[in-house]
Amino acid sequence: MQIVPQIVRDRLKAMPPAVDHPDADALTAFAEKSLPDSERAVVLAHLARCGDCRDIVALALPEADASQAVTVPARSGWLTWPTLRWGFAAAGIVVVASFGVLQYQRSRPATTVARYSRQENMTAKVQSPPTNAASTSTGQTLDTTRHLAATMATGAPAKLPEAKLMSRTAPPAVHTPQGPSSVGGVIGGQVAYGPHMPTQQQQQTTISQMQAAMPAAPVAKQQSAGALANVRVPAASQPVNVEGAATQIETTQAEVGRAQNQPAPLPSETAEQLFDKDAVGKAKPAVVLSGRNFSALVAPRWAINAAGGLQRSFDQGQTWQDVDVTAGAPPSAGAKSLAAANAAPAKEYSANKKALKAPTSGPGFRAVAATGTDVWAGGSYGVLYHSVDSGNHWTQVVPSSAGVTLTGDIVGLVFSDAQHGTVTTSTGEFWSTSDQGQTWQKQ
Amino acid sequence: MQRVAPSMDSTKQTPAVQSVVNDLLAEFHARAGCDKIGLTHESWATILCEVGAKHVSEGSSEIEIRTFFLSLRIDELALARACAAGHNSAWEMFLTRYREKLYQSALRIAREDSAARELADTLYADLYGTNTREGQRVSKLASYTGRGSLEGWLRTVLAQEYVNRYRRTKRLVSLDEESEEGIQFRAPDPDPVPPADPRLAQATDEALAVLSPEDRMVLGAYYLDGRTLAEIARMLGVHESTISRKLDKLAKALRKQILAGLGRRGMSRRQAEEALEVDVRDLHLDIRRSLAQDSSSAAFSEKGVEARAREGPG
Repeated sequence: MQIVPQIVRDRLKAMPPAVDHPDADALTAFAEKSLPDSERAVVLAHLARCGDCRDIVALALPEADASQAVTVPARSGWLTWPTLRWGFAAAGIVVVASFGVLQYQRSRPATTVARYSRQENMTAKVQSPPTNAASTSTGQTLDTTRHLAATMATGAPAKLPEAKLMSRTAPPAVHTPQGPSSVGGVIGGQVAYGPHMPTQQQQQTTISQMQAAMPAAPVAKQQSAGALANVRVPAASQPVNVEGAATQIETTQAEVGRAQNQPAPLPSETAEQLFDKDAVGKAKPAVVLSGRNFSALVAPRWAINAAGGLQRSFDQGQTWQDVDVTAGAPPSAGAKSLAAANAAPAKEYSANKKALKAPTSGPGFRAVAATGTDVWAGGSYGVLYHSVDSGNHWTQVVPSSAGVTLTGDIVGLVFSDAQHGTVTTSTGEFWSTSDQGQTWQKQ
Repeated sequence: MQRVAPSMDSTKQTPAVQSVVNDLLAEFHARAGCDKIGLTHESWATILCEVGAKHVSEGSSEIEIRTFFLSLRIDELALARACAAGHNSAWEMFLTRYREKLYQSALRIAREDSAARELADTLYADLYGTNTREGQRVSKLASYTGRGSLEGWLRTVLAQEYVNRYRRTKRLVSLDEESEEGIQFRAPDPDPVPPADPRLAQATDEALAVLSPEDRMVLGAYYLDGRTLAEIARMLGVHESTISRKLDKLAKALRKQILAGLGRRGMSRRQAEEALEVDVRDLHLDIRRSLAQDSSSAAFSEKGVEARAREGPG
């Protein structure tokens, strides 16, 4: 590479010293490309003359491998041919697969499986229904295709860098146009928070962060959910102190609140409406007709909100109602401890692992699956609830087999019909039932 | 080192900003979990208005203001300000999330365990607000506005603290240590020997003045600070090859501009080229640089490379 003459270096050094150094806030925003153009120009002009500030920006760079995503011009990458090529291919696959799935669905009873929704990075505009957290009702094949399309459409291989910003997380992030790739941004950022010094409080917050991140995580196949669960195994397998309920609640809301600002998943309204119609046609009539009778006949959509509460919608997502699994449930150990947790989020550790720190309307749910009016909802600490009447009444279920009970948080629920289903936990366990949850087998 | 934010007067409260804040207040309050960390609606509204007044340019439309607020890291902003206000629940959460990260970053910056711990501890004191001014607790976290990530902000503050310390103690460091440290900071610069012909300096200044600030920043980072192409690329958020191409282009353009400038000042072409002739030092650097070119840790000096290799991960 050609170098500049010494005189250039001498004259650069001889520039008058810079004053009015930008504060840390401005320098960070500069490095993370979240300054408006005018302000960025001002900071650049300063950096052109100030070696100290250049040193600061350089020293403050995150780990080299974590910031790889920054160097890929994600925003401009949308319109370049290589990306468009994959976009077209993905679109073609989606169309073909949609036809295939619709044909398949028409030839068998309707099945609906709820999934976590994966926030698409820089695709759709931000949508603001209250339950942006989880989408419902997609067949597994369509779901796979969407996931494939989502991955391809981002134009970059799915890595697991740190957020953002951190939080990035990072993070990750409220910075919709500037964050790193969605999958790694949210999940990777949370993993990076993992315990180097595993204090129990840190454990809990890590778990709750990931828990909160999960509803906002990309649409994932069950294998992906399992992989993510495996990633979290080290954190979850250590004893967790149920201290600081407030902490968990706050981080849950905070993390999901940040993620909520990211664009919504790929629109799939048409397919879902078709599924719902099928479900309605074949709804199970075996319910107690009391209270809201209509809900027993019409299968609602299900979702989990930012606080881990269950919600259902009878109008294809236009309005949502909170569902309290403890209301109307027969008295059980789970219900009592839930009531206790609801009444006072105390700081003492509860020996009953089913006692959940209920933020507002219920325990911290992570997954919901519905087949017509038959609904399963599972969440933290292996809590699992079942309803046969679209959520008007619930019973708590504890999968166990040969003296072994399900442990860990339930992160995946798949029911092909009312009888057959599987449960995946954060500890990597895989349970299945073929008699509507009366008996379970652990794989 | 006086530090100011390059923006407008922070005490201005524009009605447009206030109206958007009121609109978004409830949503932000819930999203950031302000209840759990001790921030009331009122104090949260005040914080948001302050941030908006500071960083939203005058005459912005409502959509622009709204977009600005939606781009902020709301939850991190709330946490930082709740910590600055001294709420223990917020501080607990902050420590849980950031304590380890802070130490890791300090270690990467200071490259040595005890120095890193000292750096992190000093920062904690600043963040917690153990300093007081006129009886009011003063915490650095009060200056965080959520435009960048809190984690990135913490790294920047650590780096600032480290640079300030190094600058203060620089004169006490021996020459050997200085040259070893040369890779980290700019090499100590002896006064440049003034060229015999002042026209050369003038023509060079002229050529540098027409460059963009970004170009000058890249030149400074590469030739004065000794940063690698990769580091500079990450500082600017571009690809490494962009920086490499830019430096090549700049070197050629500068040479051309300086020759033209010398010509305008009465030098013949031959005289100008002689004046710009690569001297012995340049030749030496050229060879070393082309040898180190492919390595990601391209060094500005041999000793710097050896020092890095010797110290390892620190």
